[in-house]
Amino acid sequence: MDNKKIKERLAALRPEDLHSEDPEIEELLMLVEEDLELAEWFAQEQVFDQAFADKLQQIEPPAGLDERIIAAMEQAKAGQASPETPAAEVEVPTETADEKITPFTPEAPIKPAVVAEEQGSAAVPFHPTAKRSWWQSPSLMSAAAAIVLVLTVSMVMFNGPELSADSLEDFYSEIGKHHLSNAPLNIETSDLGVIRDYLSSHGAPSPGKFPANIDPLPEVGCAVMHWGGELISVVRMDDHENVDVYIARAGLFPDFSNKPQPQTANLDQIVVLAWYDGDLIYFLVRTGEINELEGLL
Amino acid sequence: MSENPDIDFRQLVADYYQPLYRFAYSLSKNEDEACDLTQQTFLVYAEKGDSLRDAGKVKSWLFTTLYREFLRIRRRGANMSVQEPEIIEAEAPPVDPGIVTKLDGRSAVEALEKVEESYREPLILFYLKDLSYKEIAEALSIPIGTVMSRLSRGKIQLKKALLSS
Repeated sequence: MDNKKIKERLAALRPEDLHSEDPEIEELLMLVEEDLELAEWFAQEQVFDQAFADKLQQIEPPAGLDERIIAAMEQAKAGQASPETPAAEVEVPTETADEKITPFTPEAPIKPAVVAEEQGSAAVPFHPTAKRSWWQSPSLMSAAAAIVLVLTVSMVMFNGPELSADSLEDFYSEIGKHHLSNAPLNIETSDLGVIRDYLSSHGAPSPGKFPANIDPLPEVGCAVMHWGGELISVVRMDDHENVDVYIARAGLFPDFSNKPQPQTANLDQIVVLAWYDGDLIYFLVRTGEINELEGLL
Repeated sequence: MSENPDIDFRQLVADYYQPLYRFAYSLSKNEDEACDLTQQTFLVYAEKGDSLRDAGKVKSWLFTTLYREFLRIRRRGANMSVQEPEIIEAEAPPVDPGIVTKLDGRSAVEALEKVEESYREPLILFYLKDLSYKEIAEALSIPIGTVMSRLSRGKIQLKKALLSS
């Protein structure tokens, strides 16, 4: 472990970790003991961390918030009022449970559209078959309504709360807009290894092996994007036009891996082919029609 | 309404509304939004908390829920933006302790606002000290190694922000 890595690990330690029996921490602390300069640096880090943590503890909720929360609970229990009554004393717009599905307004530049009109689905699962292209299988059409239902109303909140389906639709909309904007890349290179290294070094998802029919497409470059609080990677390829593959960590859409793979969506001018692999979700975006995705997976 | 006999709701609010509010305020930098996020978190618990069989996970569940609620609201209007290529310094610049001493809670949050958001969120949870690293990783849906590296980078940016202000 080089000095940079040691400091990176030490910087993430809290005072209470110093008494940990974790072998890695013990090893780090041994290094601190042996290196006077490192010890001085680490002491300064600890002082800074404690001081800054103390400042955040000074944030106090407004008086009476706890009682307002309990009152809202009691109202909800009695069914007398919306449980989403704002907690803030002033009137502010508040999300309600019924608003969790984001409608796509006519003003929206990109609007998820149905792949097959009778389905009313913005994202349609396909099952590959040996004799028939998976996106052409009519047997899948009947599943579309169920999928859309899952995508739009699944709000599972058991031991791991999940993002709502509207986030996925929002994401499709955003990657659609981004793709059409022909946005600049952070680096331009045809070397996938360089792309992987760049993405990893920036904390962004780094692609594994692409599917056999996508892998031969020459890379053009990559970019690291922000979406909400998450880093999204974009790998651009050239298939006589720009093909952008957006890569997100699977945790961003926890329910995605449970869906039939791959998923597709038709967003007006562009199409999306999405699949789950390992701990990543890939969203291939290009202009054209759904049937142009034939052969890519 | 949660029927979990092991968890008294009033006690739950008493135990966690302050740390949840601090987290919400640090994320939103808005008092009203922080209040609403805190309340909404407890309401989600009231609705879904029955499924939580391990009372020991209530705290991390509440923080995770609040963060997901925050993201859900944020992503409605979220735009995808390019992260400019950055040069990550090997280590943070030294910060005079007097700079931190002069801060109050609000100005500390303002300084955090200058940290890139992917680094900011683990940093907030790190400084709030309510969750373990493993719980931070679960709440943010990122690997624990990523939490560590983001903390380090986030601290570099935080110190630079404090020095520049």
